[in-house]
Amino acid sequence: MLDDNKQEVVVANEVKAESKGEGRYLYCVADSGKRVDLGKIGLDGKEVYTVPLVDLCAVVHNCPSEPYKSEDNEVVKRWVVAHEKVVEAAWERFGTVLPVGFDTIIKGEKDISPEENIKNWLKEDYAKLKEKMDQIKGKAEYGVQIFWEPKFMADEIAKTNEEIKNLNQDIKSKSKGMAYMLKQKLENLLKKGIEKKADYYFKDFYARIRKCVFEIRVEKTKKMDEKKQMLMNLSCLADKEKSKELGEELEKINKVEGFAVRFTGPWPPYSFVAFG
Amino acid sequence: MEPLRNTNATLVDLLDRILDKGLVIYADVIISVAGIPLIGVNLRAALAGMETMLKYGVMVDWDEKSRAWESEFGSCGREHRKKKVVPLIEGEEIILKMFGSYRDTEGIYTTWKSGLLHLTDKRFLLYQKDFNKILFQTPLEDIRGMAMKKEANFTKEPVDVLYLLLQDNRVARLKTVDTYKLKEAIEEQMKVKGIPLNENLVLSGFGRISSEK
Repeated sequence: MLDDNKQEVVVANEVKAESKGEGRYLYCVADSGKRVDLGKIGLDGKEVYTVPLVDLCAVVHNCPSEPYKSEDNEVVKRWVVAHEKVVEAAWERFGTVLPVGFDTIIKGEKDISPEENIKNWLKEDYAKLKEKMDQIKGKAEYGVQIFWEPKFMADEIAKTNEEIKNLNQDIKSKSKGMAYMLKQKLENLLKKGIEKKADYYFKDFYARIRKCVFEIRVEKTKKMDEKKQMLMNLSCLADKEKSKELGEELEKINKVEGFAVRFTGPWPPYSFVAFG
Repeated sequence: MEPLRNTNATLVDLLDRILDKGLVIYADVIISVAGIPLIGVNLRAALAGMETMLKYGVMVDWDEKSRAWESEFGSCGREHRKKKVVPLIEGEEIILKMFGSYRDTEGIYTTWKSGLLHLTDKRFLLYQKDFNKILFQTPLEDIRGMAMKKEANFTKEPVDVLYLLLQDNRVARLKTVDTYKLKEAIEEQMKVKGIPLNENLVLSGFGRISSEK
């Protein structure tokens, strides 16, 4: 409705006007009440330090109250890598951290400094933050991606499935028209067969991985080439000590013909702190 | 099997986490660019392809068959590294250019695809520099009307989404830093070209556009 649009314009402008002044770029919340300087390891070499409240602290650097933006891929890459390095440094220093996504900035308001806003937020969410901290203590996130080759799977199915084997024979001996129709049928059967296999392997691998980790998040698979497909994309939360077990299981899966495993980590647990 | 830690080899994985995840802070005092994908979007698109994973030696354990496929893909990767410019028609002028995204419902899953929105004197398009691909385009004549809607996204901050009603009742959804500026620019250009724009569009609950009778 046009009237609603007019109202919305006003809101948008108000939000923009407030975005001036100083802010604090937020990297993570750490399990420590110490006021510490971590050095000039922030984005663009900014000084990173902690803002404590009781036994938690926010890890920040000072910045203008607006998002970091750039059209230059290299600049963005540098920022992203710097962000991660700071989170990892805090992880190393303080033991447990709740990582925050890139480009989260806490701003100040008329009578309230950004520092105060941080402390107010930490105070308000204190219980939830402490609970999250406990849940992830001693754990790390690992990425597990399993790829497979559908063609290889199709060949396997063609070798063992009677109906498909017979169809293949028929196609060779029949007329062009008939052969075409049979080929269509064959393709359908193969497609169904591949789907069944995908389902089977997904469930099997998932169950095996599940035994080695504390929690799993199933992520979206990425579109790849037709020849190779991503069967599953998982984020796993596991004890840092137990990652060896996970690695061993993945080694076994990687050895299964037609499959390949990609194992990354340890990551600060980005995927497991989302609903704080 | 040891997990990969190398920064270059795992940049895609890092971006997936650092751009979309992490502790969410539901407070008024946050400025976040998460709702409007300006940051890192080009970088992520550039890294999304399989060729990048190959370049970083991901598929080392694969068998003979896919290694042949690797070399086939290699040439593709090299092409992408050349500097790409949006392909314009002769005499076409760019009126407005800005980062933005388009709601793509054609692929396996519906998602916002980002790139550079171009408003020219002939058409409106979304161009992905790193793939040298026009993801979406429409001649200005095909735009029958526009409407704005505030939509919530995962950060719970509402963002302005611009709905374009096109020929054959197709609907394109777009978002950008300054969606109002974009809407005004399109309206202005349509006026200049004398293309009629339906002012009385109503957005129903499911984002379907209809004309008021």
